Amino acid sequence: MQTVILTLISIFSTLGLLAQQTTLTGTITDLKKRPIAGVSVSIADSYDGASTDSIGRFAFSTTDTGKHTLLVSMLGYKSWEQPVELRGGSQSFSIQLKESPNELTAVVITAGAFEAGDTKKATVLKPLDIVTTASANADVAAAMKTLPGTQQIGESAELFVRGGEGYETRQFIDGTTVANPFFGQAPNIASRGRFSPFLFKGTVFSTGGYSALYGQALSSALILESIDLPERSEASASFSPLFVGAQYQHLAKDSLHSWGASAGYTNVGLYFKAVKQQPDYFKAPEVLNGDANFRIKTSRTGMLKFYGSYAKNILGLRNPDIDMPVLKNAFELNNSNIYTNISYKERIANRLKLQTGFSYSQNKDNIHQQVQDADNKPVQHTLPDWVAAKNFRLATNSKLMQLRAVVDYKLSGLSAVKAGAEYWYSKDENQYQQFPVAALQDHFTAAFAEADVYISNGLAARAGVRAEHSSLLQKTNVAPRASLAYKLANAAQLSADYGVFYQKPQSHYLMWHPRQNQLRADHYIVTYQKIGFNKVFRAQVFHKEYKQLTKTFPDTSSTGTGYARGAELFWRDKSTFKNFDYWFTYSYLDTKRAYLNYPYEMQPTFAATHTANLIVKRFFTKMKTQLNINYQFAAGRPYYQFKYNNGAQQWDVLDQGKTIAYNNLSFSANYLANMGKAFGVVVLSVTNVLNSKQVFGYNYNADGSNKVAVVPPANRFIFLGLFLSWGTDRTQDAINNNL
Amino acid sequence: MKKVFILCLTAVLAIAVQAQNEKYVNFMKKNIAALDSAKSPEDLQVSANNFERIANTEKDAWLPNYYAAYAYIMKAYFVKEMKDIDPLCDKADVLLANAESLSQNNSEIATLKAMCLTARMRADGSRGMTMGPKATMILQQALQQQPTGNPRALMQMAQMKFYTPPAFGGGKDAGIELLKKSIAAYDSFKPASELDPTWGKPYAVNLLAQWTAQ
Repeated sequence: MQTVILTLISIFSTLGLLAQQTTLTGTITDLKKRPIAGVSVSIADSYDGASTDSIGRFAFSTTDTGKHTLLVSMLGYKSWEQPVELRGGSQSFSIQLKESPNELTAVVITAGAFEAGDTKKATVLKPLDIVTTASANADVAAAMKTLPGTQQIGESAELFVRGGEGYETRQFIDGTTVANPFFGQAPNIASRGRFSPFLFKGTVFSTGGYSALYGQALSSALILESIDLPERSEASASFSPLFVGAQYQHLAKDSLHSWGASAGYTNVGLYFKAVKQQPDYFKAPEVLNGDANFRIKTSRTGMLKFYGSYAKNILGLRNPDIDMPVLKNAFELNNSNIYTNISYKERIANRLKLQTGFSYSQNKDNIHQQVQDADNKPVQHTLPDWVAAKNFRLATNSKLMQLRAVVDYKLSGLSAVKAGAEYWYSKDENQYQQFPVAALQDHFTAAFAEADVYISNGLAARAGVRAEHSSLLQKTNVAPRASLAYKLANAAQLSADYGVFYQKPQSHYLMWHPRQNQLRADHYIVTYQKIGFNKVFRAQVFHKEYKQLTKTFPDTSSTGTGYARGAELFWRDKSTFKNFDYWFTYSYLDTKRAYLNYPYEMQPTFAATHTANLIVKRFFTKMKTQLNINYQFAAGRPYYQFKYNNGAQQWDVLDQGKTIAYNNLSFSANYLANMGKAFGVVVLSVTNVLNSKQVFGYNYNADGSNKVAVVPPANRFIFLGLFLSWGTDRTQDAINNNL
Repeated sequence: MKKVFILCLTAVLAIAVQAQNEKYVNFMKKNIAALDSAKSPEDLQVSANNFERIANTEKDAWLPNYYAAYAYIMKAYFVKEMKDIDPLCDKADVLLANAESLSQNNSEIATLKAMCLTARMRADGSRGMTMGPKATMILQQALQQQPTGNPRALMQMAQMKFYTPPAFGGGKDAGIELLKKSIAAYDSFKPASELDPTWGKPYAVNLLAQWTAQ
């Protein structure tokens, strides 16, 4: 019994010992000795602790004894911990907390890019902006044409950025490149992008100096990130005099996987009957397309996505022959395109993420051009050789397969290291008339690494390098990239970017001369930006040096040169005028290049010196309508007539000039309403409301006596469409049943 | 002898466990009361810190995570600088994910998730188009998870309805109707434990008076 009592005494005395109190007091400040209020101070794994008051003081007592850890934490600061020995009495602390770099307050390395997203801070556009930009008609690339650095090139759907040609801008979906992002187009008539903006949750448009993770884009990268699992199951349909479409998206009950499919048919014939077009369309543009997708959440951090699409488009049109205006050229295009993309991402270890991608695409063009007489019949009599050459058939079949893997290792704070590799296999087969031209094949490999280092919340640097090898060119290139970003006061920052960018010459120039160098552009960019909550201001100056451009005279070679420099402004304001959201951009561009058959460095025909955009949006809640207006302006672009001088054996510039300035006022209205059980959007959009004359350049006949303006098929484009969606989870029913 | 010893030891251990549980309950009660009477972002931060401390110690309890998240979300409604909203909501979302891993299909947690989204919409009106429907969907889940009616989920839903234009199925009347349902649900609501959420009734009653007066 005695032992029991003794044991009990010893147990209770231990408990008594626990009751001994230690008092902890102190102050907490930031590195500039300013007190921080609301900081949590605690003993790890215990209830004991306190929060600092308005002057950064804390005090609490604990009955714990022995070795423990003192934890100090506060949102926006790096957590701080220190071992403490609790043995009664009081202890005092003076602690300084370091601001933790976080995405919201830290300097942004990629300040040069325009981002459209919902979550990140550095976004200047919202995903919906792409759909509601009046001139864009829900085309991703067209929406980007309202941003600085882009040209207003009405005769092409491609993006011409900072003195670069259209093919110098590449599109990437989930990391892999898209070989043919636009539907097949007739010469000098813009088509549209193949991909609906609703497929993407994030869009980054970089007009230069972008990451080493991306390559084969000399001027610009449009980086698209597809959506993960949809919010809910949904069926939707669209109707317009131009097209009909239907889509279904299914989200599994457990919200771990989804699948979807869509189909659409476009026929512009009816519209062309109502609105007269400049060319004589004997086959109105017609598109049949379908796509399918599935997405699987493979774990809490893993995601597998598949997207595949097929599209076929045809068109045929006649224009007067430039050399013999009594004759006509009938141009016919048959295009089919397959695109597939599989991507998988997963966090494979605590700080390590893996992202892999595979894409395959195949694009077939069948082009037939025929010289026809006044009755649209093939010309029977003998034509001069140079006119007869306009009778041709060209079939191209290009395939591109791409594999890619990137690992991303997170260092402390926001710092991270990324590294990866890519393999591209491409094959281009052409058949001209009945003669197959040798196929062009390339095994292209690339490896890249990049480090983002946040020295502090206010200073960050990025250094990257990309090495590429092409089996076709038999060349290896190494491209360094670097960025530095420095935070100024009041949410402003200054950044500088440098990079070397390579891109293979276009395949039709490689056909006979495969051993060329890659085209090269060196970018130097300085950006000032200030992002407020509802206001964004950005100013950029850049200099770009072009080297190794393709020359076609005297021989096909990589000896072309050029430069582009300029200044750009972007201003967006959502708060000054109530309910109004507007942005304004201005781009100044000074560029010249000596490439193809240019006899010396000249301003290229796709470059206007001044470009400006004004976009205004307003939502009228009562009318359930959003009105969008935008005005685009571009100074006249140069045009040239080149003629080969047999005597001097050189190309001469026989005639040159500048087109009239480009003006385009567009308008669109989106009316939203519940229609029966569906949610509906009615879209009406009109481009070039003022019917301004637009000239994109001039074509000449052989001796220069006939000069024909390149103009849009019609000055104005009107679109009316109805988009309906039904959420199959029966939203309203679910609520009503529950109440 | 041995038996007595074991008996005594179990008694002491039982007392210790009981004491720890009592300590948890008392601490929670005290802090829930403090949270209910919080009047400033500073008060809410202190509450959040207190609950987080408990959450870090009581690793199996969803309620401390829940209340810490609630304090952060309320703070997000209070703060004046729009740019402060997202970090607070990010923090709340982490705590809610913790809570959810400890208590699945929990109507109260779903309600807070929707509240967190609504707070984010305050930071940027254009988010309404994507986050609004998402918040509505989560609230529907919350209502399904508690078929007897979660008054807090109903109150949230009422507010969403009230501020949605009639053309989109919302409006003043629809909002008031739901708010009345919420108050009725408050009257009959029985929390699962003395620590489970009971907050919101005075606010709902006050809101109804305001709305009907308009």
